[in-house]
Amino acid sequence: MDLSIWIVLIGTALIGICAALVGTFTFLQKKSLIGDAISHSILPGIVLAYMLSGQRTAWGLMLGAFCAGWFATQQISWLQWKTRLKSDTIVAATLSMFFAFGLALLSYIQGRPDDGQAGLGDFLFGKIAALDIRDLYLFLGISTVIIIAIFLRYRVMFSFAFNREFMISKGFSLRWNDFILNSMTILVVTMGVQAVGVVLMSALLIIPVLSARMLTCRLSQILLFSVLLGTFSSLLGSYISILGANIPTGPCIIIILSACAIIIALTVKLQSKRKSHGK
Amino acid sequence: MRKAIKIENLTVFYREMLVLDRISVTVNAGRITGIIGPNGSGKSTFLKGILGITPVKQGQVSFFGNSFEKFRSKIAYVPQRESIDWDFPITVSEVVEMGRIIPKKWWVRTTSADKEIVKETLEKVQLSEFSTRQIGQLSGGQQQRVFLARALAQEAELIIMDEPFVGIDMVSQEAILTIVCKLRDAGKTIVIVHHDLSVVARYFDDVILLNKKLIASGAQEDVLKPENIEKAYGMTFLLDKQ
Amino acid sequence: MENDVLMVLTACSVAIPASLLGVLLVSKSLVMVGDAISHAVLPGIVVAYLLSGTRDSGPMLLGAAVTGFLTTFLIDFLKRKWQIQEDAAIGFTFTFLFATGVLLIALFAGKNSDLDQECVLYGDLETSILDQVVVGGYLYGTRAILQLLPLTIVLLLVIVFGFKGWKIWVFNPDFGSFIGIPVRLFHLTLMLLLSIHAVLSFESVGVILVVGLLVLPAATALQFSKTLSRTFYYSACIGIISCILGVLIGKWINISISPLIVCVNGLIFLVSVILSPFRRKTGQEQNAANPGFQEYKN
Repeated sequence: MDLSIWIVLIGTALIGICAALVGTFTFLQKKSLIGDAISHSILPGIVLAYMLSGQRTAWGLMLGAFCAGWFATQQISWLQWKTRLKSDTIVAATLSMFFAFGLALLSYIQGRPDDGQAGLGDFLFGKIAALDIRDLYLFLGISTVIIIAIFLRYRVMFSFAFNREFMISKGFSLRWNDFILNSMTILVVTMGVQAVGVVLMSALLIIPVLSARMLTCRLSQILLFSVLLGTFSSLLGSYISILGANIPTGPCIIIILSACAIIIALTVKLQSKRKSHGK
Repeated sequence: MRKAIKIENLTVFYREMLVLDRISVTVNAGRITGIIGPNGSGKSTFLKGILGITPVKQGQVSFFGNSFEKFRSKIAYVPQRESIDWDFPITVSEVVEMGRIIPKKWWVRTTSADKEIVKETLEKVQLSEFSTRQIGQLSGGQQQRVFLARALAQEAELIIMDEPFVGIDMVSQEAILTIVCKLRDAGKTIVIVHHDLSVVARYFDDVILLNKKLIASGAQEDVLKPENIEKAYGMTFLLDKQ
Repeated sequence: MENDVLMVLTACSVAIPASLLGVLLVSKSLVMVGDAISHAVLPGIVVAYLLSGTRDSGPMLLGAAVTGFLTTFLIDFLKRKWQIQEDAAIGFTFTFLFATGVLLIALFAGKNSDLDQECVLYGDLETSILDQVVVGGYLYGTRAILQLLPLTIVLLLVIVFGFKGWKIWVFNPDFGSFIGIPVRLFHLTLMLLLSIHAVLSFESVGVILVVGLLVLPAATALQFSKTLSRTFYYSACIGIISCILGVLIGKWINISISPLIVCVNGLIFLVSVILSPFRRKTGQEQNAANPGFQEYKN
């Protein structure tokens, strides 16, 4: 196998691992849909970064994406503070506003004479084959940060998700905790959109932990299973999409992930049924 | 008698609604204090206000003469049952381990000394054999004892319990009260929020009667008088004094 | 000029039913379910297209109705029977169905068909108005208008005649089922209308922007209206205003219209939030009175 395939495979594996790790904590915090909101909201950041820098560099686009994602989470918490609206309305409103703004910008640069925006469309559905070695270095850096942060902080985040009042009464800051989790989500999403695209990124965060949760109720095992599942399906999915000529990476990964989840769910249900019959 | 908590002029708003109106009261050390009032009288808000969980409009609170920040590590909070997601993937011993997390050293792993303490506290509340169970698989009373164990693991001087007797049977209620009394005898201060005047009220040494304002406070037999209760609940209750 | 009017009318024909449906979704906190349905009709559309070979609305509506119901059923099933928390159930359902749809397009629809991935994501209002219905030399409107008009009428009838029922469904469903109102039927009707709307509008605005049209006018209307009937009224008005503004601005700078309409909607929403009289007490203001209670950073 040549180098580019290795780059792609390592890149997707990193995305799968990080998404599964961060997704576990957003799931436990019952904030799974924040991931969806963030992944839609980073579109204007990507397009603006492209417009400003004039080229498609991984660093620039990621910086733009990170800023946009951060703005979106800020807007969500501002709206939660300022209005009586329920949080699902606020999330959907933010998501659609940012995405619409991104699409408007995209259509604006597509109307310009220098038709160099090719590749930005890939962010909508993801195209992992476009990954090069510099992207991979960036991915490695981000994954290291995320893995270290989770390694040091998993106990606090886990406890916060279970019983936040207790943690506040002990002197932990809720705002700080939310900020760390949001930043990690944004980082993972900016990494992941290159592989699975804006629309399907949330699946990579949700489905591994959802299936792991069905298998076990121990945190360490949930983390282990979801990382395994996330890595396995992103690797297999991207491999299939490299083989096939016209298969988009994102949907391919998600279908494999969903298939695994359904198989796991059915096996668990069947087993528990058999057990209850045995009694 | 030493003052455990001294509260002056505590006022709390929820949105634009006044929930607690200038409450000044003291809680005595080494006793069980019940905070009693009808539903919606702001009892839980009162606790959350003291503990800095809910922001307060104004008021001063001191703990054994210290500020809240200084005393924080010696306070244990046992939350209301409804605020807990019982399907959460956490085991009994992990819940108790939460009591050993220290804000200033948040990155530290559970040490073997911590594990020892967790084991001991679980023995104290007689839940050793359940330590690896998921929290939702226990009965209501057992769950409450787990949270009590977490408070013990904190090695707290002051234990604050929010409605611990809701939705559990009489036997578990007795079991919890026995533990609470033992803790009191060991010199700890215990504050319990309770919504009615049932049998439980007998176990309280002191009572604070709340309904948005402070109605009365002091020793149990002085406070639980018909005229005070009428003020708090709006109608006369027959007190069950056995 | 004639094109602009057509454009506004087409946009309105999408936005009016969306803003009405949105009010029901927002007040019942079903917004994410609505989002899920608008994504999940995609496989229905694709399968209908692949089987029938045309883009006629008949098979597509059927496909959409089926997938719409499938989504509602699946979310409900995961939540009730398998005790999966709601956000995760929604997230799983719509990503799975949407991925299926995209994959089907990529694999079977090929390059020469008029279904492609991108047009699904963001529809094209400019081309959808070229699809005009001309009978006997008279222009009757675009296909989108003629398709969405019956839906709007049905929706209005459903809302007006079932108004009391909707009110109970929103605020007190338990009481409703107690006095014998078929609450479940109301729910399914809403989901059916939502799926049909998603199909009919995806050509002009795309799957994701539909969510904006659903939620933003309703959320804006809720900022300053107190009753359900007023909320419907305001929401529809806001929907229409933003369509007109969107088309005008789109004429002025060269940006595609449908995202622009949602952007205008979003701006109106933000302005309404800033202007709204209600303010939640800030933590900082309260903490300032008592430094002892400030949040403590670890």
